[in-house]
Amino acid sequence: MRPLPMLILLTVIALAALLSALAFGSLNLELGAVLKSLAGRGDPLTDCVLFDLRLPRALAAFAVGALLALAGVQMQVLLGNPLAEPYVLGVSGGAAVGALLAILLGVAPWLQSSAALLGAFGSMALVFGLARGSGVWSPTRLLLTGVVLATGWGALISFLLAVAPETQIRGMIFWLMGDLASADHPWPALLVLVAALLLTLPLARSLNLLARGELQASVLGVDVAPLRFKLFLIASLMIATAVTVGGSIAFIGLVVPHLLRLLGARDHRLLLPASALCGGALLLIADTLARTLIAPQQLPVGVLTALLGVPLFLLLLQRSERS
Amino acid sequence: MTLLETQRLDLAVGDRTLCNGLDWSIQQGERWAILGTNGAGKTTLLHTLAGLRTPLRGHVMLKGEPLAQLPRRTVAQLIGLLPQDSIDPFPATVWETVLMGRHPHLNPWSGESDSDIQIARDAIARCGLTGWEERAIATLSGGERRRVALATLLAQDPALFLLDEPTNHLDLRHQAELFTLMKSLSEEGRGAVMVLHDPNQALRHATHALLLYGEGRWETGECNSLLTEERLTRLYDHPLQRISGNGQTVFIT
Repeated sequence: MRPLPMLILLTVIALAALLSALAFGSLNLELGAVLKSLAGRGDPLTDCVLFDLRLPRALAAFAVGALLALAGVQMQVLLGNPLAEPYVLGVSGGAAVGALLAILLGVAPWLQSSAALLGAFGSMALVFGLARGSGVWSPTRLLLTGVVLATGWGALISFLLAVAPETQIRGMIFWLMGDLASADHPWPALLVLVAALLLTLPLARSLNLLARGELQASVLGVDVAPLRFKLFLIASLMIATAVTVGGSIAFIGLVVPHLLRLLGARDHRLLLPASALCGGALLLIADTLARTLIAPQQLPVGVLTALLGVPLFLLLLQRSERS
Repeated sequence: MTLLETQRLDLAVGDRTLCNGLDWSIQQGERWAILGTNGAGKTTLLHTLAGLRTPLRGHVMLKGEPLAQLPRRTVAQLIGLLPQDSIDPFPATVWETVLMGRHPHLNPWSGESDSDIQIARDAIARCGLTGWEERAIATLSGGERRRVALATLLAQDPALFLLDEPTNHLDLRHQAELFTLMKSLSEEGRGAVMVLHDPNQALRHATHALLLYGEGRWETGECNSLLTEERLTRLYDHPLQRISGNGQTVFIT
């Protein structure tokens, strides 16, 4: 697919996903009423449902999906490994330990978010410090350090689940599976998303080169070490933000980049914005389904991202092999 | 004019010395062959010339300036390297790969101009890859990938070509075409340094040679005078015989 049609198509899908997220829920709204409200001429009930409940959550869902997909692209290039995904270096594990500890202690929700953010940044600093070690900083060393640390976080998470009282386990499991139920402040995530896009778009061509290995990139004029450092910092910030808002939502960061590559978006100048749009739209659709499938009960959105993404991805993979 | 110069260059990997006090200069129009046994430091030297490694001691000077102090992008505008192998963990087409060669000539926010596109097209044509632009790299054979890497190097359009075992994977015809290409590039005033394994290729396709004996000893000179039976036998630690006839000279083992 050509770059411009792809971006336009993804924007249309994202807007459609946004509108359906606003219209559907335990109270279904007419599309006309939604548009009227958005234009500022709606009735008070619609306004209330829309602006207090659905719009903040929809925007948060879009931002988190976009952040995860964008971070996924960057992690894959940074580690030179198509199997890399946002959580591979343990940032989400650190966030989870922070959040679960906060839930266990029964603190206020905003403190849970702060604990998650603290855990994410702590984990990121730990990985970076340990991987740097004697000053040599290779993707393999970074990956090994991150994977081992993530395993450590995993053990701590199991420990916290084992000692938690029954009443809190459900909340903890929802957090671990990824859940947007308490995501009512979309602005920090949207802000980080815009900043990350502005910071990474000028690096897009360098990412094309780094994806072909360190040697090829340096030979063609890329300063590899500073570029990797920038990628690590930006990606970690995005992941920390996403995980703090939505928990460990699975699958988007790994699969959206590959999905778009299969559709022809191999150049990072296209892949970066396309991933943001596609990841955002996919999470928005998944979250709408999570709210409505067995309403009034809500499902954790992480379950649905995988249930939606797996068949979509396998289908595309089959098609691309045939052609 | 001098393209690249080394001043008292010492190279080492771990505690193994590869070359001691190398004083060497590469002029426009020269084609150098680097010969030596496995592990003698040919690739290490080539990467040091490209600024990808820092030498133990000494300097590499690019057009009179210390290479280590130049920005990577400036170096990449003047020096190109064909690595021994290329890796492609992510999917890409021939066209996308060759166009990457223009990277050092572009600003971060700007895209490829019409002239960049034309240069990449010419590079593809010179490597006999016209019509293959949309093919995926993963579907190509080793030799075909080698030609794509060479086209990328041509699109980079450097003044000095560093080629690490350029004939790897290439069939005889494409080997011959590669050397013809390097000859015409050097006649345009560019320089080339090629790591080779066959002294006959050096004799026929290079103007000068650098012999790396291992343990730090080296010799430079014009191919015709430098490449003798006695030296090559010592270099490879294996008896070589020189046979001349019909105005041609070949070394056989």
